[in-house]
Amino acid sequence: MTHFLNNIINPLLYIIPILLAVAFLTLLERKILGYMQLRKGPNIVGPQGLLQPVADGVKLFIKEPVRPSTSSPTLFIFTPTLALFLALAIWTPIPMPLPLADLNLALLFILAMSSMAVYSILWSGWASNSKYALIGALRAVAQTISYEVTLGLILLAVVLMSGSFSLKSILLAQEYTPLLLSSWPLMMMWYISTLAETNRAPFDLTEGESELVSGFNVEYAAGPFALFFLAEYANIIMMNTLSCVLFLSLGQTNMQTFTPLLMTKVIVLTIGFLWVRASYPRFRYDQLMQLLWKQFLPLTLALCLWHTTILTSMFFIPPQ
Amino acid sequence: MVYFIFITFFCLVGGLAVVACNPSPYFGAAGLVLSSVAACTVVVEFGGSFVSLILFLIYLGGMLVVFAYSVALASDPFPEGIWDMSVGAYFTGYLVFLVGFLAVFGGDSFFYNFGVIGSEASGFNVVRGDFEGVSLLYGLGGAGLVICGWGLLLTLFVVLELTRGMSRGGLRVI
Amino acid sequence: MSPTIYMIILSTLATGTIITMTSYHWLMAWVGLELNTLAIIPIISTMHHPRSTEAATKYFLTQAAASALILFSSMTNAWNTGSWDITQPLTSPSHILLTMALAMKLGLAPLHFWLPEVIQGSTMTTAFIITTWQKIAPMSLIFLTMNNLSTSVFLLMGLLSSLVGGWGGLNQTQTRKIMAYSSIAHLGWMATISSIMTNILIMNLLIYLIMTTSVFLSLIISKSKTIQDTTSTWTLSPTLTIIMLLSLLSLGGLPPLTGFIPKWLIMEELILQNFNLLISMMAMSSLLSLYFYLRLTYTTALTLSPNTTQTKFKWRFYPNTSTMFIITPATISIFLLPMTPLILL
Repeated sequence: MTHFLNNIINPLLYIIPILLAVAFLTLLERKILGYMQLRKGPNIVGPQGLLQPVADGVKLFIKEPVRPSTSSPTLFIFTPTLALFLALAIWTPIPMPLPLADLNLALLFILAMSSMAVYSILWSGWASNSKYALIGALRAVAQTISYEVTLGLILLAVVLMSGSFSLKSILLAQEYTPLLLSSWPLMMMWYISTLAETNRAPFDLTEGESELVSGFNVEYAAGPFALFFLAEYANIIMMNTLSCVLFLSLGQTNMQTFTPLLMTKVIVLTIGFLWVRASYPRFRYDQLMQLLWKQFLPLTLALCLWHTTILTSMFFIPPQ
Repeated sequence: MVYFIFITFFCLVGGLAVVACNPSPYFGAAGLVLSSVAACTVVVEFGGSFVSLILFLIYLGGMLVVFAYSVALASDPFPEGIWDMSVGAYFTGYLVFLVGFLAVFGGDSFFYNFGVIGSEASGFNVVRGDFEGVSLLYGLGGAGLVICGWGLLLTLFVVLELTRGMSRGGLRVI
Repeated sequence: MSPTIYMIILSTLATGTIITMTSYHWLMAWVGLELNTLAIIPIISTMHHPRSTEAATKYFLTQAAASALILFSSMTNAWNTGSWDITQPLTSPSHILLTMALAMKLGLAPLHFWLPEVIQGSTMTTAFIITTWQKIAPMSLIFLTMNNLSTSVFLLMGLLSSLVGGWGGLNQTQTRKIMAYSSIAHLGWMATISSIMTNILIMNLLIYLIMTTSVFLSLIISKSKTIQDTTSTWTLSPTLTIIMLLSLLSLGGLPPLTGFIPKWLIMEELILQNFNLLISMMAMSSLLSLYFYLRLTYTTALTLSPNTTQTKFKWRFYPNTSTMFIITPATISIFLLPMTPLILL
């Protein structure tokens, strides 16, 4: 019985804070965007608008879910669930400070799950049987696949320095120096690639309101839409947590201060995401691809080679 | 664990049956994803987590492109899904055939031969089988690696040659 | 296709077969087969025509399926026995799969349907490559694994393919299709003898390769795509009519020519093993093949009217294609019979 309860309660204790964080991230986003545009943002529901996410959630889930008659019903319902499930599943190996499951191939797992997440976008776009949704989905696919190449290469460079795919060893490797100092170009490219990977503001061509109405999720409303929304924001927080673990965790050995420190950095990075959204216009599609294939890819390839050779040639080979 | 392995194998066979019985490429690609997820899970359960994750990553990218291309090229306003009569009949037919085939011709030894032997189970190893395989590939199997790399490069050449633009390539609108 | 890429692809085509032939490891054999298949795809589709694209697609699908079967059978075998060695005995499910895969690769009878269509869709030179060089790698695998494959299945497939090759070629007017069916028939003879005496298999393969080379080269030089085209061979080069006549008869297996050697030895061996019914059926089926070879020779060489140039004929330019390469294969495919004791070692 206790075994069974462990298997139920542990994931629940992981999921609920993530969902809460997502809820308040939406509020934070709207507030920050509001103040950046010299207005107040949500401030009616609750003190300073604090209960706005709750109201939003209640509204979304009690609305009538729309099911377009020409859609492919199974996939149409299945994909939002898949999106949220994957967004939550990626969190399992992330140490905060103890991971839900201590995988020794954590980074590979995260990469696999995040590339699986593209399928939810692609299938939802296709299953809703609408031109806008399909075009949005195809854009998402091209963009995410391309940016995953650089993400993988950057991860490879980091892994070469820490000596293992597990996030614990990456934390250990940064006991005295954060990897940001030793490989800041990687960190810069990583941050931009995570922006693109999560389809955030300057790279949000999948939604492209002006030309695609709302992209892959035009046909979704109410509950399924809420699931997509939750998944997207959970992914944002997850990606930022991963960036903090990979590049910014200096000497985080103290179990008590680990979580507050990590989360502070995550908040800073996330605010960076919001700031970028408020500041930059959307990329054109060819610019997006050019940035990746002509700037990022050669650079990351070169840096990956650099990290391979410099470590080997100077006997800085990490412990296995 | 045995039940879990059974379920993933069932998903694998079911996914392959979905691929085989669906006339529309969309659902075929979906079935392919399902079966490859199941297959990679099977490999994880038998102890090859590294190989399976790498394979999964590569497969996902490939199948994504397959799906995107089939969406872009095949225009089928009313694709026949698994719930249509003909497809459903094929699907159940395949499953019944497979199970019947195994029950009649497989016998006990067939199942035992494909039994559960993990990659750790072959001796007292410090390093897991799949990691070992990767290092072998870069060590003793160097010639094989070079040939495989050449094969991949050749695939690139061939694809470029087949899809070269306008009238020079083999593929074009007929 | 640019010359650089053409060179890369042709050399890989050669390398793939050689890798398969020289390997003792199933994986390497498979890699060689895959390299081979991949390399010939752009060669088949060099002519930018829907037919050649279709041929390339058909070829790719069959060969990829066959390679996947080979990989699967060898993996099943390795899982069961722990050995990747090609010459080691195979277990029951894997040797069945391997037989199917190799028959598909070669175009043996129940799995032969792709061969005439692929050859019809490609150019003469490509068809020549497909019927000769592409047979070597699967044949070498058959040679290596023959001890572990089923004898009766190969005898049956051999009989079936020689019948199919004979019957299928009867109604054809396209020389490439005729050559495809001739290839199926000859592979049938090779499959039959492969389970009994492998050095005759090797000799038969070599002789078949040389005879096909000589016929194909003469067809290429005279640019004969249909039977009708062969009638004007004499206007291009009178010598070619004689060479083609003798090579075709040799391909049909008439006694004083080289093509008789394998037929003779195979018949003798099979009669020694008491396969009387089988071998008489095969001999009958080779009569069917002989009929369409004879028809080709008839239109090429035997219908020359003894008149002067009152009919229309091609201008006698020097042939574009070099005629030099045909000398050796033509000689070998005509005159080798007296040397039978020497080559059967």
